Amino acid sequence: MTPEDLGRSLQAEPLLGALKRHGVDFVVIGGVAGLAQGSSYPTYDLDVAYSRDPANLSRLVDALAEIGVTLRGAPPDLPFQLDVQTLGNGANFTFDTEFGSFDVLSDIAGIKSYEELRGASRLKRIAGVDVRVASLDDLISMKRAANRVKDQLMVVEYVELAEELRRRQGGDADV
Amino acid sequence: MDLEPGRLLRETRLRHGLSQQRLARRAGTAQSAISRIEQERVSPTVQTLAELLHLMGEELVLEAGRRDTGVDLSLNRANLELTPEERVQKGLEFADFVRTNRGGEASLQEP
Repeated sequence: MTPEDLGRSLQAEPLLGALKRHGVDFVVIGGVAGLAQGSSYPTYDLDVAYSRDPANLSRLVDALAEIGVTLRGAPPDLPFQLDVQTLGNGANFTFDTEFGSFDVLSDIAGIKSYEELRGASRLKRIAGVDVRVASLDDLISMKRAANRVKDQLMVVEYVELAEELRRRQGGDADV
Repeated sequence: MDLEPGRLLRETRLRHGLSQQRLARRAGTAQSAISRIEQERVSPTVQTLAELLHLMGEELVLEAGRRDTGVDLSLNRANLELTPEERVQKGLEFADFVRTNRGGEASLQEP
């Protein structure tokens, strides 16, 4: 295992900044969201969930073009037309960027709808950008659904963390 | 759960000296139904298990207790003292540390 296996060093600001500048409706999920919520697990990529609204797809295309994404793991000669139709025909896209691995997802196991995910999210500042971050409850649900060994470990920590936050906030507070 | 429903039922039944047939008669069901539960081929509902235990004069007691997960929350508590932005920055710096030091031990062992 070499450092290269873990991909490039992740720089969140250029990725989140581009999404924000183009007005993309998105929620940070995955390991970065876990970190923002207080997790101690490192992460090597940025995952965001996005609204499938056509206007939002158009904004997402502009942001992805600015970032300069390429399909991760795809042959260099595989054509990838970055446009609304392509995003509309797919759901989850995993990209390489000069700022690190970047995944944009709309079909997410453990989440009923983007609207519910967004509704439970909280505004937090990450890398100087104010963004919506998935709730711990939704992060737990996503990790439970993914259910790989690393996800199972993270579920245990997230549950402990959620309980710690509930003890601090009292009652059945959203976390 | 350490104790499976089937094992609980079997152990209770044997403690009472009952055959599967007799317990099944009390429950108005077939011996094979008791057998399937005890062999863990089917998982009874909590209500079914409670009723079978009632038929032996026992009560099913369920309780939820705090689980010992072994998670050391001190790291998380330290993180909660930071802003979300600081938490992410710290996490990504740690990821870089892991990335750059991964495989270091193997390298040291090489002649």
